[in-house]
Amino acid sequence: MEKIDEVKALLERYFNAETTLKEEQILRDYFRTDVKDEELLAYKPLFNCFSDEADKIKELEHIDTSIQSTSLKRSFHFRWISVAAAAALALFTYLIMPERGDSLKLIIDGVNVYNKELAMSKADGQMSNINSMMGKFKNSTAQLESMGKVGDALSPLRSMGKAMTQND
Amino acid sequence: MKKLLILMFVAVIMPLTALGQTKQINEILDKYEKRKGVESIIISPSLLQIASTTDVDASTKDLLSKITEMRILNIKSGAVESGIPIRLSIRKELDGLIGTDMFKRIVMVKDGDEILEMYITNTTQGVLLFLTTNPGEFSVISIFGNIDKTVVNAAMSGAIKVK
Repeated sequence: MEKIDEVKALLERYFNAETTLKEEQILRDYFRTDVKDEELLAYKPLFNCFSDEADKIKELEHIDTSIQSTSLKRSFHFRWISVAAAAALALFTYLIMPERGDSLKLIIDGVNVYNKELAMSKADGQMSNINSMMGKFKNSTAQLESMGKVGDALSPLRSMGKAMTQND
Repeated sequence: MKKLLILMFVAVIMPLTALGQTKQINEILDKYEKRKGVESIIISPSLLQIASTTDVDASTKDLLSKITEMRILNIKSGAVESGIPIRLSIRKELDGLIGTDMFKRIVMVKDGDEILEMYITNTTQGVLLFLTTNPGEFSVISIFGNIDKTVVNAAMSGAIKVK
């Protein structure tokens, strides 16, 4: 009963804007409990509104923190996957294209010959030979193409011949 | 997540396939390079890069940048080991490899006594292989790297040069 009187007195001071922060907290705490006094019950939504809002803010802050921790975990996860992928790529690049160190290596009869010009000349000789053979292949292809063109040019004559035979 | 794992699996498996083809060719070349009557030339990417920058032709420059290494093996006809001509031994081993689904023959040119064959691997990161046979010698010219359509076209038009 004393509590109700005290709350009523505080309410009066509250509406006169005379309450301290501590007194306002007492009022909020009181209205969060099970209020039975009908006169005071009318003020419950007013004070609960603030406390409910505070609860919701706390709840939202909790959700936000959990989302942040999940996304942090996910980004951490993806970071490791990308690091692993990059490492795998580097490993395979190394395996496929092993660095042999020497810019040029020439071995004749099992003996290393340190003669860059000779090595280059031999390599060039081989490539020139291949290019020359390929040139012949290209010429043959060109000749085939020409033959095809001649065939195309002769096709109207063939049609004419056919028509004339039919007329006979 | 599942897609990512599949993607990573493919990314791991595909280079392994290419690795197998280049490795097998390199193993055969390594096996024969120090025999008597055999000449071996290895041109590393660094030299090919220099060769590409000294060339004024932009397309050749781009082409050479795709090549990672060139290996040439010349086997003289007179080179014999244990009574068997080396050219026949290496040819047999190469036939075992190029006869598989991993390789396909692009061109075969016969000019008099000389025969030129050109093979490529099924994967772009692989080998472009030339085999030349003449009465004097048998040669294996292998070009490793990103063997795409432009490299094949360049090889067929005689654009690949050493210097």
